[in-house]
Amino acid sequence: MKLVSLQDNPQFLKGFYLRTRFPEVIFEPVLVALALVVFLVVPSSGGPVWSVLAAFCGGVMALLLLLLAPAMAGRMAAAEVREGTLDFYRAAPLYTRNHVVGLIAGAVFPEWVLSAALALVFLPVACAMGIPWHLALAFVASLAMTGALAAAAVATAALHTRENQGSSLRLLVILAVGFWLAFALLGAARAYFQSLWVFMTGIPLVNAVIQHAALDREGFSAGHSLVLVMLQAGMQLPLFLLCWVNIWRVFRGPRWYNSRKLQAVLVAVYAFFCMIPDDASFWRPKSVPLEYRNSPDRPSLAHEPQEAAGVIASGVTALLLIGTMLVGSPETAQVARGLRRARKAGKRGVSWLDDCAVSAPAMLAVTGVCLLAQGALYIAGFSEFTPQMALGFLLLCLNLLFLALFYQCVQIGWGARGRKLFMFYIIAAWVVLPMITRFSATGLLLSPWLPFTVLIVGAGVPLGTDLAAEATAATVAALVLNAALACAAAVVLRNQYRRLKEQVFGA
Amino acid sequence: MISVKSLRVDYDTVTAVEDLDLEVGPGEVFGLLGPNGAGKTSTIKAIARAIEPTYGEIRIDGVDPDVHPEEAWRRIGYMPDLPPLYPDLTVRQYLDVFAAAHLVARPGRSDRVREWAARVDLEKKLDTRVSELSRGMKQRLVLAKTLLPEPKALLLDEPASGMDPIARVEMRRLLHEAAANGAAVVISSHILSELDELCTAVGVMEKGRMVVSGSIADIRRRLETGVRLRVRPAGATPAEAVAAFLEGNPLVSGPAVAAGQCLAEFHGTEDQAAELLSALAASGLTVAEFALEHESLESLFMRVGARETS
Repeated sequence: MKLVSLQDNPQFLKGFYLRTRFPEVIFEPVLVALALVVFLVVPSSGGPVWSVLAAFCGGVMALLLLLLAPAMAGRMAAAEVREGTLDFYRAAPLYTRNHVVGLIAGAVFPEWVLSAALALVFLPVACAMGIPWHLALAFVASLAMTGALAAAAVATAALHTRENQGSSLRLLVILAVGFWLAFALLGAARAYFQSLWVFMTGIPLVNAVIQHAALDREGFSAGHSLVLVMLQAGMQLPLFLLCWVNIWRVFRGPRWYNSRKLQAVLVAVYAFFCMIPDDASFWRPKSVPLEYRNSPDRPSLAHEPQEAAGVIASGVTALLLIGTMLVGSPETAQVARGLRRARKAGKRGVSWLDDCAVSAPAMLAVTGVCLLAQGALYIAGFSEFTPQMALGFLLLCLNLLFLALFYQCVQIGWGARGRKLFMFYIIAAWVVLPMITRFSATGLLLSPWLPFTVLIVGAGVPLGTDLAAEATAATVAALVLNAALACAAAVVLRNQYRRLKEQVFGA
Repeated sequence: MISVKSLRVDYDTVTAVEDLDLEVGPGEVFGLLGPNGAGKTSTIKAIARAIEPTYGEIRIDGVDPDVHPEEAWRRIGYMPDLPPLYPDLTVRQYLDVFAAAHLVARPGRSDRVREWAARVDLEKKLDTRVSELSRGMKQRLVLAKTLLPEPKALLLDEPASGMDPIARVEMRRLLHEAAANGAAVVISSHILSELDELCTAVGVMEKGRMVVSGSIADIRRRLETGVRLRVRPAGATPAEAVAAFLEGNPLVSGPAVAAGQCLAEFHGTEDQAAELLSALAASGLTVAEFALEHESLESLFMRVGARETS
């Protein structure tokens, strides 16, 4: 069934009823009108009235779309969890996509309607003050795209909490802090590795609007605006889809082809795509100065310390593998459910990217993506990936792979109790035992389940800021040990899975 | 209409429902009984597919919810134990939202909303905010929301909790009406006497398993070891004389005198009880009261639960 009209969409109806109550419905328009009057009446600092009006409209649109609308989406979504109404929608015959559209549209439509009205003022005013029409239009589109992404992200986060009244506000704060933290961290790394990721923030377009005079002189055309918008859309779309799928899953319940594991693989691809250096100036006019770029003082790629690229890539790999491990390792009952569904569909086993499938293939897939991405960056000449770094990187992958498979075995074998045991294992093997032995070589060797032991003891490899490993005997031993442990865990896991399969298919 | 075979539901390390079979035909009302944690809510949620079972087969009117969930949900009306509500919506808006969720067509939807609000006695509260309703009214509102799409399979988890006696009577009437129109109803409750009046069959759950099921009369027949006979003599007839008379009857065991009455276990049918009363009168013993007292459903089910648990 296709999308029903908004008048028949229950989530939209709910949002509409809640957001059009009097007097709340007039708060925002009245505040905006008052602010506009104040802006226009109070003498500005010498700027022409068009600039004031354009800045006001742009600023209020940003406030509405990037702050208020997401907050409302989060509030609505959090209320669904708090009131326990999700079960009703899960047991309703309406197709799930309607709930997702309705939830977002019903929550944010007042801000979006108001923003559309402001955009109608902003566009002619921007043209009057000399901003090219295509750039003004691109700016509005950019705000809309970022606003939609922000609303979807906050709604996703709110639906995944079991919090109460204040959850949406807290979530918003957490998301905002997280977003700006990511900005700060990636911004620091940008000096070394300026990448395509900046387009997901929309900042290049904002810069272009601010620097429009300089750009105009250099022949900035509609095509350039279009490329900027398309790049932003390209960078934001995967994140928007990720949020969509997660909201969809909440209303629908777990169904395969929308699994966390598939998402993990896609996120791995996306994360490495984000790291592609933005060195190609294919979208820029040839003679345009660098003022409107994100980092005017950015050094050229040829002089960047290439090791940093490897460290960042290794960090991303570790995060992706740990994330996949945590979200993609099902318990016994989940695997049994997956097998039951597979049996109903006439299949012999669970699709390997299903939430209910054991995690080995998914972990291998994510590892494969990471290795391939590293290889691609190296071959393309973006990353000077030394053999030492490659070796360290391989060790990291193998070690995390072992941990993931071991964690999956524990999950299947002991469930929730197993998770606690796993944490104890990590603390015991990585903290307590080395502390008891005062970090002596002998003591570390006494910890047979600590895969890095041989490496640390034998090679003294720093595994902190500069991930690299020399090809010594100890490194080879560490490689073999990690691979052997991963294989052993995979064998145990295979047997656990076989037993479960017999149980379900034999039932 | 509702068919469940070998159902199992797991949460983390807990098995909430295990190897449960259930058949409820059109027009039947099946009551699920059991203490907290017995697995009643999980069973109802699994049938409504609000949660996914670990094992087992479920069919709603012949439709497998795993294969065609939307088709199954068209046939299901589900009411959870704690009524989920939007406190800031009015009664009319709340019913409108869920009527839309159950694909009730827009032309005529508002009439349907008004009709069902009237049927649960909330017509005067149509424009009142949900947060201003009493607990019983909220329960009735959710009941109206559940019945409004006229589903073929009704799954009600503790629907009467919080309702006043009049509302309970009204709810029973509505559920009887739905069953009379061919709906299969599964209802869980702690109020045993209510199920006694409402259900055509009941099942007792204990630790995730169905320990006994069938019609209430059938369960009584299977579980009751005997009916208590109470005879209060009239006039000068001493209770001891009545006890002595009953002593010799093969259908009566353990007669005893207490507080001027004679109490005993009776093992016969109602016709045989009538014959016994006639015999008492014929022997010259005058009787003011002659009563067969069944063991209450509550104690009967408690006994079953205790036995299974032990």
